[in-house]
Order: sequence, then C-alpha cells, then structure tokens
Amino acid sequence: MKIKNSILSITFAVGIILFWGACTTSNKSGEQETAEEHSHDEGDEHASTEAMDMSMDESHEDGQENEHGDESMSSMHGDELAWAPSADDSDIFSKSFHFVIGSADDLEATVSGNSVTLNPSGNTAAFVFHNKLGNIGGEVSYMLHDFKGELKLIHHFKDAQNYEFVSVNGNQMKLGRVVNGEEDIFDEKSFDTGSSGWVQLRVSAAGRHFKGYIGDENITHGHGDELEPGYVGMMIDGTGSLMVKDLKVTALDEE
Amino acid sequence: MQLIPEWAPNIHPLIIHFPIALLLFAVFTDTLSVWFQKDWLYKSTLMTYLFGTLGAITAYFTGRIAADTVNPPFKAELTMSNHSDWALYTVIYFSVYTILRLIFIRKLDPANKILRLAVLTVAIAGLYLLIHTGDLGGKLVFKYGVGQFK
Repeated sequence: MKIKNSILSITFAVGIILFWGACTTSNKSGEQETAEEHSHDEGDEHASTEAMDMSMDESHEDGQENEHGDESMSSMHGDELAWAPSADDSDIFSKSFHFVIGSADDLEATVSGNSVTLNPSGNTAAFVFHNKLGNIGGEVSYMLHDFKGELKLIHHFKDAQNYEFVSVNGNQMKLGRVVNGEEDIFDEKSFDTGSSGWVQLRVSAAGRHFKGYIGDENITHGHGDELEPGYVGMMIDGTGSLMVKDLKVTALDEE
Repeated sequence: MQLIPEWAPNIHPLIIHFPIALLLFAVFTDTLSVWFQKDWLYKSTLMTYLFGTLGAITAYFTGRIAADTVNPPFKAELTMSNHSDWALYTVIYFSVYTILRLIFIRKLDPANKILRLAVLTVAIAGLYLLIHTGDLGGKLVFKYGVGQFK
C-alpha cells in the first residue's frame, strides 16, 4: 500500500512539475516574442515599407496605376499607415490609395490645409490603402457640412460584395460586414457628437471582436468570425459636402 | 456608500482576484483531500470550486461591461479580445467541471485514488486557462495601461 501511495505521489508531483514547466515556458516564449518585437521595432519601418512596396507592386500587376512614381503621401511608421493630404499634389488619392468602387471623379476632392473637402455626386465611391491587413485599428476625422448619406471606414475589403465596416449616418453608427452583398449588422447605436466640429471615427477589428468608437467613447461592439486580410480605407455614399483628415490604420500584431 | 471606489474605473478589477484565488485554492485543497481523506476537506473543496466558478462568471460579465467603458490603445485591442475569449473558455470549463463534481459528489469513491487523481488532473488543466486569462489581463493593465486612469 505504501509503495502504491509513493508511486502515486511521485506521478502526481511529476505531473505538477510538467504543468508548471509548460506554463513558464509559455510565458518565456511570450517574453521572447516581446523582446523580438522590440528588437524588430527599428527594422519595422523598413520591413513594413518593403511590405507596402510589395503591395504596391502587386497593385501595379493588378492594373492599379501609380502615376507618381515611388513618392507617396501615406507613410508607414512601425505598424501604422497614415495619410495626410498635401495641397502640392494634383491627385490626392492615387499615390496612397486605389479606388475599389467608383473613381476620384465621384468625390470631387479639393485640398484645403491638412484636410480634404469632398463633394460626392451620389455615386458610391471607395478608396483603400494598397496594403492588405488582418487585425487593424483605423481612424479618420470628419466634419459634415450638408452631407446626407453614409460615411464608412471599411476593412477586410475583398470586393464590393465582401467587406467589413463601421459607418456613420448622421448620429447613427452601424458596425457590421457585407457578405455576398448582404449586410450583416453586429451592432447599431446612436451617438452624440456634442458639437458640429471635427468628429473622430475609430474602428478596431481584433480577432472575433469588432468595436466602433466616436473619439474615446465606445459606441458599438460586435462579434463575428475572423476574415482573411483585406484592404482598409473609406467608402462614401451620399451627396453634399464633408471634410476628412488624418486617416490612420494600425496593424495589430498577433501575440 | 458607493459600491465602486472613486479611483476604480469599474468593478471588474475588484472582482477578478476572487476566482483566481478561490480556484487556485480549490485545486490545492483538492490535492490535499486526495491524500488526507477527510470528509470536511472534500466538501470544503467543492464549495471553494463553486464559489470560485461563481466568481469567474461574475468576473466575466463585469469584464464584458468594463470592455465597453475603457478606451484602450489600438495595440491593446487584440490582447483585450484574447483576454475576453480565454475568460469565456475558463468560465465554461470550470462551470462544467464544478457542476459535474457536484452531481457526482456521492459517486466519487474517496478511496479510489486513481480516479480522484484523474479528476484532480482535469482541474489542474483548467488552471492553465485561468493563468493565461490572468496573464492577458495583467498585460492589458501593466503593459498597455488599460483602465489605470479614469
């Protein structure tokens, strides 16, 4: 009986040690990844730029023309892709984006300072960064003048029938995805912007969790299956005038 | 008297330590009860599992509410999503485990150490879910500063 108890005790102790070892190994590998992340930080800009260049090359192969050579108004810092319009450029879209629905003519864009005034004609238009991304955080600031319609931050864009989005229409926010042309709404709520000035619209898509923010306030939160990486950008469907600035996208790394 | 202290962003950080402590302690006393076959120790262990699981359920739902009230940086969103998913797995795991332990309270022969160790091993495996969930929660607070400031 004593021998049996001893064997059981040893077996159990070994089990505990193995379990603890597995836990600490998991933590150490996590730390190592973090350390690697840090050590790669300096190189990230180059790596990400290369990735962006590759993406742009792919878009060239796909027939997406870039008439302005290698220079770009969008910049990739670490995992962040940012776009700031410049009054010096005659074409504010083509360097950083390509249109996936409609064209620049549908938006009648004019640069004023660090923002762009859009006068959409009523035809839906969507432009996206050249990079395909998976988990992302995206943000844009907008100011509505007499715009009537829907402004969307789109992500995981595959084609016009398949993408995910957060949209604002007046003070109504919708969070969802379009699958085979059918809209699937994860969450929908109204919000108060407090003033008629600039409003920051933010979206995060992290794993199965999707969130829409106005400024720092979370408005919508929904869940869905994780999709394949896709393009990130904006879609405008309406008429009137609105201004946009500071479109940024952050790639969220897997842990 | 207010339920949530003025400095706390929400009630979640006040709740989460209960399931962590209770479920770890439940496994500890469960281990002791395999060797020291005392009825009071066995019943206390089951009660600790029960309260630990109830604590985990409460922590999960307060966490869901808290997630919509904080403003994490984008870099923290994926960690927050994983924290939420692993918390759900932990809640489901220990809920099923505790319910089965309570249902079969009379069936588990205290003298059958092999069976008792097998049942204990299932609980120890659940601790991995608990530890990983806690690890992600700690990362949210101490790496990304989520919920540190109101």
